[in-house]
Amino acid sequence: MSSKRKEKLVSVEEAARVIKDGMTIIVGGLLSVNHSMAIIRQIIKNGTKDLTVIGAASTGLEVDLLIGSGCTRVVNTSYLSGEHFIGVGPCFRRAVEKGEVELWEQSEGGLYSGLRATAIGLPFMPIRGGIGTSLTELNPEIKVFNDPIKGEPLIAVPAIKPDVALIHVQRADVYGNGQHLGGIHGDRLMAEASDTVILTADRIVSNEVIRQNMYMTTIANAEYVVETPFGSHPFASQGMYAEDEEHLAEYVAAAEKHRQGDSTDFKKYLDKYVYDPPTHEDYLEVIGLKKLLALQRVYDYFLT
Amino acid sequence: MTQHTGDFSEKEMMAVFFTRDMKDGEIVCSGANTEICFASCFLAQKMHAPNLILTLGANCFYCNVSDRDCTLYPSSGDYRNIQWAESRYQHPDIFNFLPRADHWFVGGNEVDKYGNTNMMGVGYDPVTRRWKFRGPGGVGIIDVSALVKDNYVFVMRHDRRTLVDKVEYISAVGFIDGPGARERLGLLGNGPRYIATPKAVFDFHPETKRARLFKLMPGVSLDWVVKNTGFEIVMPGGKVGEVEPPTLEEITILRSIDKLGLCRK
Repeated sequence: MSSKRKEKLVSVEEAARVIKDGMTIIVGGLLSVNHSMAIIRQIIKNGTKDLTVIGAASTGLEVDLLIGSGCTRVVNTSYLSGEHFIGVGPCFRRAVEKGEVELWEQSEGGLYSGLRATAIGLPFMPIRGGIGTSLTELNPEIKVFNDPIKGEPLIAVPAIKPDVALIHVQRADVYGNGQHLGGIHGDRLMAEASDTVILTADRIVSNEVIRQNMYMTTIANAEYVVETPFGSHPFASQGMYAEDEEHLAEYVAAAEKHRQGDSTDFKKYLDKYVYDPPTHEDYLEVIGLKKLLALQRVYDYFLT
Repeated sequence: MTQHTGDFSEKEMMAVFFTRDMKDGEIVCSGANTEICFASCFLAQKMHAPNLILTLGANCFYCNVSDRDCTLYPSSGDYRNIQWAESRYQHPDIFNFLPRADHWFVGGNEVDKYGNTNMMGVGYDPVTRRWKFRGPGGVGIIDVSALVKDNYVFVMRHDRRTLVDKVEYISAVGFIDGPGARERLGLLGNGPRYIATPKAVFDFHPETKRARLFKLMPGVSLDWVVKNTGFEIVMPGGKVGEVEPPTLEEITILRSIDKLGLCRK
């Protein structure tokens, strides 16, 4: 027996190995912010297969990449978009139109209700949103039932239970305490519903720093902690750095050509940014210090 | 006398139209990538509705800019919008206040004569589980359209593929298949309030729940709208007027907000 508290810091490579073929993972953040991209790139490098990937309520291009790289068998999302870069994620669109991945049609309220059901130990949660829409026609696992109190039609969303949640925060300690310096989005509920939480942080700070700002701790007791500076790149990490618009435009152009049948640029993208850099730090070198500092300045200077 | 300007874009006109409809003290919500929506709310806060609260769905902020200079950013998810925020929520909590929200902006790849919209796609084959065209998905609007007081439906294209007689799939409920449908299903709220396009605005007949031509955007002909709308055009009294063009005051304030010119692109 030891009285020493367990430190949970692992490498990107160790953390990504937690995710095995066929698992269900959920990716935190929202749209173009706060994604555990260092882990996602490593999952792709590992050649992990047949994942069920649950996207954030509004899913961004991080899941598009997980689809385009062939890791995904089922995608659970209510919306997958590149915002002002492209209305529909190109790899998502290609895969769903070609039948290469299975889409678990969903609503934002349905996602949160399904996660809440798991978190509080229920088989399903009732929601009203979706009644009168095509949701239940497109997803037979979501069922309409008559509420026993007022007799109104409601929807039963089955409990959603991810094996692993990938949550990105701006700072964390080695014990699995994470603090968001910006929006929390759906990250807390995702963590509460998942068996295992992999917490990536732009910075690892001492437990004393966490305690000094204890009210800011949003994720508690994650199973694994990974230090990933600029770890959400090319997406934003709220409070630290902005999304890399130039890079996202490059991704979208390559992925859109891939959707239309010419995969040359998409393969080049994967080689350059995913397969070739041996480590996350090497990836950051490919992006370049000047670019990373510029992305940091977007937030540092916007209030002046 | 009010001065008007002839120099405005379609997006600016749509934003001004929605601004004029908003009342002081209302709660208005906008999803992602919707510059018209938050431009119109910021404009309302600076014109006649300083107590209006804009909820930015993608950033989980409550925003008010009535007393300050502000800039419109390309996405409502842009973190720089924190400058206009005075409160925040966790994203799942958005479902805790939907029944008390006044208006929510609802987009769609297709919208039909009952104000139902479709962001899911067209041509789904349940056997192969393949889509002919897949849209982004129904997002939180699936929930919103069943719960908020009313919806501002807006589309950025006005053609027969966008304004259709019947959407193939419903991602956001309007009046579904006509009178009594929302009530029968126990949905909250009043359903869609307007459909705005770059060329025209539709409202809904109180009894039949059918979209009817409410106003043409300035300079657009009735003939053009009839030709380019996929559902039958009906007009109260057989006549239709034009939306009042933006006033100089409206356009001046709007452009002081839209410093990056997003509504002019």
